[in-house]
Amino acid sequence: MYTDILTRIELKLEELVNAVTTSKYNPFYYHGALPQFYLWVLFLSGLLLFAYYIPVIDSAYDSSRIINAWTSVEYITKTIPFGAVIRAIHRYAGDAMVIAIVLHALRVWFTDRYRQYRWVQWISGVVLLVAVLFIGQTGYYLVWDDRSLLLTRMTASSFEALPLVGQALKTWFLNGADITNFTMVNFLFIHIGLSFALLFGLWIHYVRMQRPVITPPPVMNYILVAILLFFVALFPITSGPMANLTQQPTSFDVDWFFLWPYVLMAGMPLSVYWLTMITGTVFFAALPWVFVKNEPIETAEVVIDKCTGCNLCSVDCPWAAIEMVPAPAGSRFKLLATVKPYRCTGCGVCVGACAFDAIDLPDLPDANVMAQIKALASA
Amino acid sequence: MSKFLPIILVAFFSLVCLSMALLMPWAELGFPEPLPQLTKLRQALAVQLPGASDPQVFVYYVYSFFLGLALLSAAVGLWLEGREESEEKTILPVKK
Repeated sequence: MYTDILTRIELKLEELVNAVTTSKYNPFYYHGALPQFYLWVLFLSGLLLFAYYIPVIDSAYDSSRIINAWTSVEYITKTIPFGAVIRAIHRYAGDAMVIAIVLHALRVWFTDRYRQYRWVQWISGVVLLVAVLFIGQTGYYLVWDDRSLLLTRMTASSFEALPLVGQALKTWFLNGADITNFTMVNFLFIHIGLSFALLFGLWIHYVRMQRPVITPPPVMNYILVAILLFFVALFPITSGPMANLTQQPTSFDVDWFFLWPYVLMAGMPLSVYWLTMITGTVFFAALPWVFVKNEPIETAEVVIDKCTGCNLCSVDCPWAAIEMVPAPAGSRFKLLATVKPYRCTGCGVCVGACAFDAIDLPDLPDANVMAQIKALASA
Repeated sequence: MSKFLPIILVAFFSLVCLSMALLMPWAELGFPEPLPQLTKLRQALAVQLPGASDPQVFVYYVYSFFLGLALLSAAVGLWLEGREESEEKTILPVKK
């Protein structure tokens, strides 16, 4: 099946990277931890930007001394020490997080780790990705330059085009009928509030994992930050001209990580756009049930006569698929291991953990595995 | 020679990290030029890095560039130092 080919390609790539980095520093083994690390960078840099950001849109025509979102961003960039660097770190960490999430999703998909018991992780991951993309887009609104104005108007129009809920959604988005200071406050609330809601979503994403790896090693953290800093120095971030509500911008520079939906929006009718986005999202969320493997997973089986109830297999199982229950009457031991077939992925960690040969995979008995290892070792 | 190579490499990357760490305050102080080599370095940075048109902000971009180099060299040094013990070794059980 094509998933076996993808798994083989993935494992071969990991093997090649291992030869250079060793397994301790192979980024493939921290594919979930990388987006998590960038999230912390975004929180920290965002906090520093928030300290000086002013969420209002009053323009040059209202007063002689302009204090608004655009001028506060310019103040951060040009006057606050390291303001330009923090702003650029925030922007590039967002882009890097999207790349890391997509690579994480691809690895999970290629290594077949989204099925059966792990559907919760997959669906929560799709929801988290949609939330991250929307948070990133609100970040572009907050700069309040020409691009922000055009993106705001495009988003409001796209919401309005939805049947039944369109007008209510537009009013919620703009925090009123038109673009006002309340709109900017709303954008800031969405940008920050939804970011904190990500933490709750991540709890759901992790809760079914026995030992999730969510922190890369320090060496990897240094490299991740160094990459960000190189981008900051080589590609400084600047704003476009201040947004002017009396004008209608018609084009903008596209950040392909966050603003690709607007390219689609500009290129097709809004009904087709929403159909594409909704069906695409539903398709990816439903992936665990779309491609179903024909052969069932071989779950581990406990050999009741040999099990001593030592608990090692239950402790070691990465999927919490082994439960210790009271041993049957007449047994010498207090506890007995039982396998929950729905959670078992057939990984074999329990077989390695057991010191009494009391658990086995049906189609991969110990004797066969030992024979293969001896043949390889002597070759 | 091969026994000393990891030590030499770690020492090299440590020196690079230290040098970058010393260049960071040099950038933040506005590129003072007590040495002619530093003048040449400042001129090369002004050509290579794009933020030079705004001198007030340029110092921070150069600072972040040197910080990135310091972190990268520290990471490479740490990776080299821990490489041997991080390699997976296959230990075959001996039948007694």
